[in-house]
Amino acid sequence: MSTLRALKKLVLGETWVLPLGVAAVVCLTALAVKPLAEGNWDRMGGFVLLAGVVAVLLLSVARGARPR
Amino acid sequence: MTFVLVALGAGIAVSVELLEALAIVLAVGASRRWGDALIGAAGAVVACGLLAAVLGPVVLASVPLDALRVTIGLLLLLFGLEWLRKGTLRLAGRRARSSSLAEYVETQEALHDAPLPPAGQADWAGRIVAFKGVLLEGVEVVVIVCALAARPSGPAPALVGAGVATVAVVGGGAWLRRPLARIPETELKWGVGVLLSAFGVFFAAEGLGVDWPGGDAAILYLAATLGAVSQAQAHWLARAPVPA
Repeated sequence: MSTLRALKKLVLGETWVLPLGVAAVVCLTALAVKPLAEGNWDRMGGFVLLAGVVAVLLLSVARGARPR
Repeated sequence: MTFVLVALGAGIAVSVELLEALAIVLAVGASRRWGDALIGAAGAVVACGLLAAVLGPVVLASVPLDALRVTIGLLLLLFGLEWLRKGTLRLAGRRARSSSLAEYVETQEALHDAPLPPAGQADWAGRIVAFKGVLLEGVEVVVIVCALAARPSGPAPALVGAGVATVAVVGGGAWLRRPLARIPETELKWGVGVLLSAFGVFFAAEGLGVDWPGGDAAILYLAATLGAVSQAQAHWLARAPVPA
């Protein structure tokens, strides 16, 4: 049982916020922002992705800082 | 410059993971028998080698370049952000600092109740603990190095970084017991988290067709941004009162 728990922790980490958040940010950026950005995508797309990743990091740390 | 950054990222990530695995092997060897600890560790190294031999070539040969970049970026983001999240909480004092010495003591305590078989008989408890510890840390090493090695510029920087780190950590294993307490693991892991997350954003965006201003130097300003945000949040959390 502890091995399964360790494997789950290895793959997904300690919180669902990060894998779900990263997946949501990448999907949203690729499927929604990229078609809207058109000519600006190649120069600005990376910064949109960075902003999403920063938001996911801030949210996951804020949740982790709460007392359990 | 990319060569140095990738080698540095792979080297530090591999060092930190190997340090944790080494702490477990040292604990098993010191409290049980060195032969069984090394047999367990060697089994895990063989398993990780097989995984790397399968994972690397299969991924490189079968996945289109852009999809590969996005996949590598996602993997690095998942590992990097998890390390960065924990690092931020540790720097803010909201989580215990990282310590391989604590892992060493915990492993010795976990094995304390299992009776040691007579000389000449295999100590399966010791072997399994050493195997499991090295395997779990080793799988992380394999995934991170394979991801960094799958860059179009080739696997050399990731392999050089990983090789130097392996020699340094394993070579230092004999006298590492006391210095384990002095290694600033929290800061090291935080730095690895920043670097892996920066590589993750860089590769994922490249796979989605982004042309980064400054080329490969973008990794530097991505790392600076992620590091600054994390430090700012750690400072803010350290000053904020802990809710009851």
